[in-house]
Amino acid sequence: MATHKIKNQTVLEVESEIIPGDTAWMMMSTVLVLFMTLPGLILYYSGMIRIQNVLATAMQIFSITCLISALWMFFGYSLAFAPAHGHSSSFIYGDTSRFWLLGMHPTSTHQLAPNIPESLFCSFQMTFAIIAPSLIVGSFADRMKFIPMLIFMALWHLLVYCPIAHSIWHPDGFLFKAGALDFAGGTVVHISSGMSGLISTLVIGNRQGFGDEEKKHLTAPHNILFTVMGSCMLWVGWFGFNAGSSMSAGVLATNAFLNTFLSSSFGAIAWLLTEWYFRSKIPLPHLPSFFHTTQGSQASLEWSMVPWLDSSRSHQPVDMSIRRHLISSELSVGSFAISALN
Amino acid sequence: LKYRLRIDDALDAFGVHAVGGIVGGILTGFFSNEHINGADGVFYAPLDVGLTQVGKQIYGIVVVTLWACIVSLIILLGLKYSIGLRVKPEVEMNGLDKKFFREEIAAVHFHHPSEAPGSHLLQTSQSLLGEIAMNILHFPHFQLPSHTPLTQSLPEPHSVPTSPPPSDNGAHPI
Repeated sequence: MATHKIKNQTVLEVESEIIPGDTAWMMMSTVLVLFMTLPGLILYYSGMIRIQNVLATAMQIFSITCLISALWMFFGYSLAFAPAHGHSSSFIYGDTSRFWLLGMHPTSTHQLAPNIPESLFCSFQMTFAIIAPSLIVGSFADRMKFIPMLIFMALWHLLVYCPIAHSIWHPDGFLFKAGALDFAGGTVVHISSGMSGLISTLVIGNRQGFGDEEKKHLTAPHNILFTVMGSCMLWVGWFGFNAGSSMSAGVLATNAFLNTFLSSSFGAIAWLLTEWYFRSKIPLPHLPSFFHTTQGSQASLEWSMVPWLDSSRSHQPVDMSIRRHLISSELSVGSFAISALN
Repeated sequence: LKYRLRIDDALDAFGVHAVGGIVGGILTGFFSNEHINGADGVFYAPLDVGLTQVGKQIYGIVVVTLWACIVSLIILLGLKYSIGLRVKPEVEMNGLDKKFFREEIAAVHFHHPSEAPGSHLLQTSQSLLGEIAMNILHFPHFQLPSHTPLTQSLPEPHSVPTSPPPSDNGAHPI
């Protein structure tokens, strides 16, 4: 076993040890989370827009990936996760000690992940930093200019993502000290990007033809199979996202792993039941059957994603089914049974 | 709901992520467990301790929400009134692919499979693969409504002089 005993550079002076098994799983998780963004989110989003915007959306997400990677190396990692030295790290930002990854050497570790190399911790967090702005793309799809989009994402990364990540995850962050829990980015990634998405929608305005029955084709999804494939890739990627957030390959990871699996399944079942329940009651407007199928499946995929997010908060997926005012008592019993596992 | 409020969050980033994140964040206050998460939630602790954890979760969520909203708003408004955020209406109508990348998914132009480049090859090959490809190209989504300005502004479809006339009732070797 080629383990290295090294001294962690923290105020806590934790003895840290690089464990090959943990390192292997975390590398796998890193790739899985990137996989969520790069083919997963691209397919998921580009399936739901008009065909004239497919390449634009794909290119937006792709270029965000490259942009944020570079920014993360230059500034972001240090601003969010610079190891605490007890003096310069503030409650909302890190410090400049890791700009250009200065001071990160092959055997250094981070106090939040004492069993893997710091370079791997940096890579893993980088994939989170990438997926957060990529999610916002869905809000202004079809109508935003490219260069302003890049500028917005760069500023958003530095001014929104990094402070939030630092506040919640870093031991010096004020939300961390207040005791707010976020296991795998439910707050850091999803609330921040969702809220920013809402704001960007409000600022940029609606698409042409939105909410207009006559011009429904202007906002219609063009290929739901893309969305289906993207959702499947996202499901696969969630294993890295959630189980990787334990920063180790131990029982916490396997627990999150099982929860991720079950919550996705139960979320999809919950959605199916909702859809079945409401569709059978509400008379559908007169539309070509094309719209029925696409909107049905689009909505189902979106809602079935929601519980996955819940599981990213560390557990207990299935309560989402209750939240979706659902319905069958068996489901809720099932959900509590699963929560008991934790 | 987004149709009722007339907020065009095109692909539901808010509905999926913010709502899911908020609910998950609050539920963490209920389900978290000392051994796993480092603090006990409502279901594993005395009620007052658990509710304190819920309060902490809500505190975190409110702070993050406000921060994300305010800073995004500042950035976006700054960009909107300096270099502009939104594409021109006609560009939006025609799609962003052409404007910014000068490329398109080729199927935009096709009104009929026989207009696709190389479709004559598919038709003459009569192979299984060609038949599948023809069926994909004939997928009705690719046919845009002809009465919209969208199709009027598109260039002429590729002319394939050597292509035989389309045979809708052609032989199906499958």
